[in-house]
Amino acid sequence: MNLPLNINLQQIFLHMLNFVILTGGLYFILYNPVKKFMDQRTAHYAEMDKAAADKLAAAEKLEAEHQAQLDQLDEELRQRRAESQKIAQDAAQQQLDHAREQADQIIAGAQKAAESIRTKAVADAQKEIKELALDAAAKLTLQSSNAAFDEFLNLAGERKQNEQHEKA
Amino acid sequence: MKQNKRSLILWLFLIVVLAAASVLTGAPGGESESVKTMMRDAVLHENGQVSLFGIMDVNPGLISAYVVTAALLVLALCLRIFAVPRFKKNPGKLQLLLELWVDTFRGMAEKNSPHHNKVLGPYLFSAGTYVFVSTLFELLGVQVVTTAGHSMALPAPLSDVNAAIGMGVLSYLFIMSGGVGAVGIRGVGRTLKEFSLPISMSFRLFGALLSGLLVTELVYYYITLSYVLPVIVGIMFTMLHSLIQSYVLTMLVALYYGEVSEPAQPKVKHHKKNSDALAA
Repeated sequence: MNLPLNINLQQIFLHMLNFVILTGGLYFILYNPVKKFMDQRTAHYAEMDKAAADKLAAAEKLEAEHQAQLDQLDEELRQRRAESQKIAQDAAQQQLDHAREQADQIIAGAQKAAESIRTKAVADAQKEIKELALDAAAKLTLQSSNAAFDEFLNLAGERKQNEQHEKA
Repeated sequence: MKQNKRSLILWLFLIVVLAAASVLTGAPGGESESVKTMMRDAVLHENGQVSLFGIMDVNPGLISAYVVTAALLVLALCLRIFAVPRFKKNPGKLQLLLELWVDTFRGMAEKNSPHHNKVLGPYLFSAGTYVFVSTLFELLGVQVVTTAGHSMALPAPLSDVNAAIGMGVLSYLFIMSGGVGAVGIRGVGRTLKEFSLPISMSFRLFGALLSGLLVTELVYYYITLSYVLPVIVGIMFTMLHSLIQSYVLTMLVALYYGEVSEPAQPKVKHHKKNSDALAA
């Protein structure tokens, strides 16, 4: 069937047939295998990527767990340290109290000893004073015994006179 | 596997239908009209017919098309047998070239028709390759003898108006099939909106390749222009043509295919929207 411009329906169909054969042939022989290979490779790399991502996620999770454990250990360490400090402070306070108590005891003992020393010293002093006074009195007595005796006698005489006089 | 089988059946069916159409629409033969000028002959091939295996006389473009197809299929077969099984994860130069070749058209299909592109990729691959290689084919200058006994160089297949119409109409039907496959009967409507597409596609291809052919014919017509200039006009123009035409055709097919196979958007209820806006 010929049309103007030498357009021929049969040849158009033959061209179309030719192109359909070419399309199918290229698809089955070349396009599909190459595409399949590329898709498989893409899938392979996607799988590798996913595996790497999974590993990374697992590593991150492990790291997080370790970090949590480290934090927990740090916290425990801090608590232990605080407890140790408290124990040390208590022990120090106890020792301080004990020392104060001892000091108080020492001071009290010292005060007591000092008091007894003072008492003894006072007693000794008094005794010495007494002795000195006695010695002095003795000395004084010896020196003024005559006058005193006379005076005594005078007084005694006066008293006797007074009694007689009263009786009288 | 099932998809491949279906594609194979469809392909064979298309071959049978087109073969039958080719046989049934054939002319009984007869004398062709005389050619008045060389240009008219170059355009219409009325006198420069070539015998197709002694069965009938056809335009030389059809012979070119068959030669190109055969060459491409043999090349593909060789690559399939010798190159593809040796593909590695770290590709070599040939593998890179093949992957680039396939991936260019697949990427074009996925980019322009994101919803339905399984069939589009192979079609673009085939169409782009065919247009590119068949346009370059005229550079080889393969000689044939016409029915009139003259020797002539085989032209680019698409410089034959029948080839261009075949390619344009087939692309149009392919676009329509994509529309039907994606959105049913609505796809036909969408495709019929672009009723001028097969004509524009056909004659764009035909005009572009024919213009190159005519310019070359004119250059060779004058002996003084037959030195150096054909290198630029013949080779450079042909190479540019092959690249540009394959790009234009595949891009147009991809664009229209994507447009007609786009899923239908649910209609927005304007009344409700307006009343909501008023209420706001």
